[in-house]
Amino acid sequence: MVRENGWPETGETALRSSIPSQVAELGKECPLRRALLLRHVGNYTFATKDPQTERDTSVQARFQRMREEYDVVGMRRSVEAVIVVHEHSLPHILLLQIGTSFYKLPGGELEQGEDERKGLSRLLDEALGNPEGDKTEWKIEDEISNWWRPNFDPPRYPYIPAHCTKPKEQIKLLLVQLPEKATFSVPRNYKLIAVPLYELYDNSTCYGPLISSLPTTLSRFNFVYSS
Amino acid sequence: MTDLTDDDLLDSFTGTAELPADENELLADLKEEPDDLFDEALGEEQNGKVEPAKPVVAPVVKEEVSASATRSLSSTNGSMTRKSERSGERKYCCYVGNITWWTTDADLRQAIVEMDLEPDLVDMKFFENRTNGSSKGYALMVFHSEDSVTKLTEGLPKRTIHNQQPMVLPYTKQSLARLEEASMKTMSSDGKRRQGGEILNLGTIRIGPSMNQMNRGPTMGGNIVPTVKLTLPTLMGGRPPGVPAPQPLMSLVTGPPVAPPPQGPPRPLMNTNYQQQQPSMPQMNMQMQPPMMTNTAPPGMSAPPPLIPNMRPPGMQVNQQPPGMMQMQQMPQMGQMGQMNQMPPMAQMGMQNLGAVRIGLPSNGPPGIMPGAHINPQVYPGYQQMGMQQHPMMQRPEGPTNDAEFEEIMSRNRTVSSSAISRAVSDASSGDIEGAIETLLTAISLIKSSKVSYDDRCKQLVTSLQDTLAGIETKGSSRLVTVSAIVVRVAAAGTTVVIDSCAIDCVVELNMCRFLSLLSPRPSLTPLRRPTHLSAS
Repeated sequence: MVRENGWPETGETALRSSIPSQVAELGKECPLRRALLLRHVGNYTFATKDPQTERDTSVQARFQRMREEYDVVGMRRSVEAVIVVHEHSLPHILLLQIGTSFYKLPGGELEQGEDERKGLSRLLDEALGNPEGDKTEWKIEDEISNWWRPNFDPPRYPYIPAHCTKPKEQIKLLLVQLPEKATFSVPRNYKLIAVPLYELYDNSTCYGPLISSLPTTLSRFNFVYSS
Repeated sequence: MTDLTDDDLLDSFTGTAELPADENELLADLKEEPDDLFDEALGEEQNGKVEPAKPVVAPVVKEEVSASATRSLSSTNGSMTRKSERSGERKYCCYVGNITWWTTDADLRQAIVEMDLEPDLVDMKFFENRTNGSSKGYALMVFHSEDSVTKLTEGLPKRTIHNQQPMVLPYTKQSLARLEEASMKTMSSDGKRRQGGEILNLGTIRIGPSMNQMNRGPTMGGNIVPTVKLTLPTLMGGRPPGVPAPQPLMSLVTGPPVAPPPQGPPRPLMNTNYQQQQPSMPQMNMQMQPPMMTNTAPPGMSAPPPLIPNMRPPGMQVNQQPPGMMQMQQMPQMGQMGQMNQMPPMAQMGMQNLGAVRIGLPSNGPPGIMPGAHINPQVYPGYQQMGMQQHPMMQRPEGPTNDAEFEEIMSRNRTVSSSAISRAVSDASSGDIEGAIETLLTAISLIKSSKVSYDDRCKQLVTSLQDTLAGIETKGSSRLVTVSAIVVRVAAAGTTVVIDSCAIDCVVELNMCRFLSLLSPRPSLTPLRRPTHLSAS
């Protein structure tokens, strides 16, 4: 029961990998560094469009629907878009503001079997796309982080807790690169704001753990501030 | 065993949930648009910093049960699935405790399958720490029949899951309280981490509110008593002066240690140092030594616990592993800090303080550092760590818990002070000033380090001791006046004062009989009632 060096024998691990839903390509070469071009926030114009309502009318309904769907399709997969622009030599993240104090990243739930990038493009079109007019090209090349919801409860964590083998939802954050110029149509019930990194850093009380940890996860990128 | 109907358990998810509703109300007026979903979503973000509501389980009344089930379920693992809903179905619950934090739902399910109870299992919910989602080490099991619960209670403790014997407890408030308590001991590190409030960051120094330990235990009477201080530099090169620290350390159990003990490579070093200076120290260290012979030895996880099984409730294991893992690299730094502290615990170290320690009272560190600052001891070596000071003094993690103990300690302090004063006075009068001073100093430190030192009576004792000290130090005949005046004051404070013959002589010399007669009604001075008796001695 104990190995020769003192560690206990553990046998099989409960999960195969930390992101169980993904195939782990061990040994695949990845560049040490990644540089991305950021556009200045002034390149973009904003229009409004009809309000986008949530699918669930209340918290209870939301978790109830989550339970029902879990029984049928299994773990829910959500994707959220991290759109970055720059101003004053600092990256800013685009957030949707609801009311005075609630912020979320644009995104939503994927359909069963839907590809992540295609699904996020669809969701971004629903959230920020122009109903009549040009379709914005969303370039999605980087997966930033994964968060899991272990129970049908609000808390989410950037790992699957050790005692949990069946998380109920996985939220994937993907970095979205913008074309040089574009127009975003924002639903009337949201406000689209560009928040600088310093405002998010360590500010879990205002933005929640997911968004407030973005400055750290994005720090690996070398953002080139294009004029 | 508690009977829960299906509706009771499901009610929490459909409409009668208390916690979310409260948040909605709280947030409603903050919002321009009364959009419930986002109110709750905001509430969920804010909930991150709220400790989980302690589930209150009243196993008798149906409504209470549903309300309490609500609280427990919404604050923990609400993984009830629709499958379990059958109208009119009764549910039988029990708690499974003493499981490691890495015991999964699959593990429990496996055990249940092997006991042939699987078809009867409705659901299981793990109780988690809201701050980080880790398991608290116990879960709620729900079955269709009471028979299954009975079989589980008998059969499950006979198995081991991850080298631990699970405990099955009935679905009662007491069980829950017990399990919560067991997990609270490991949660202290979480509490430390999440203590909100103003936390400033100045580079690598994080200045924040004081730690749990400081708030929980009584203060050290204001000052750090020099005689029992364990300063960092002395650990490596010198011995802690004064009070025999190792003894109290041996009796430490579940204190809130802040610094982990040295592990692996530093340990052999420390051991030799100690052998030179403190013969009793190696005893302590030897306990830890065997499992950590090599650099690759696990820093006290599941293997070493067999060495110290009695010292920790099983729930402690929750935090043993992860901090241990992280601290392998931090060992050389932590080694210095942790020498006097034998708790294998990495347990209490907490995930945050890797290589840097939360500092308690700002005794003699760099100026401007507040309590609770997140400071690297290698950068500020003079800095004292609260936990270390508390350990040699305090035998328990909490302050004086009840009156009986309080009074006992108080009376002990009184005895200490009175005997010290009398001894000091007699020493002083016979010319041994230094001995008197030492006696008084020791008494002062003992009282200050006791758990009731914050109390006014103790402070009075200390003051009188200090005055006696001052009196002795000033030479001359006025000294005796001072001493006798002190005796009077001390007696007035209700302390039993034993005045031996030498002191009495001095007092007589100064014609203090009147004072004594004034005091004579007090039982402590009975022998002095008759002046003639004095002159005879």
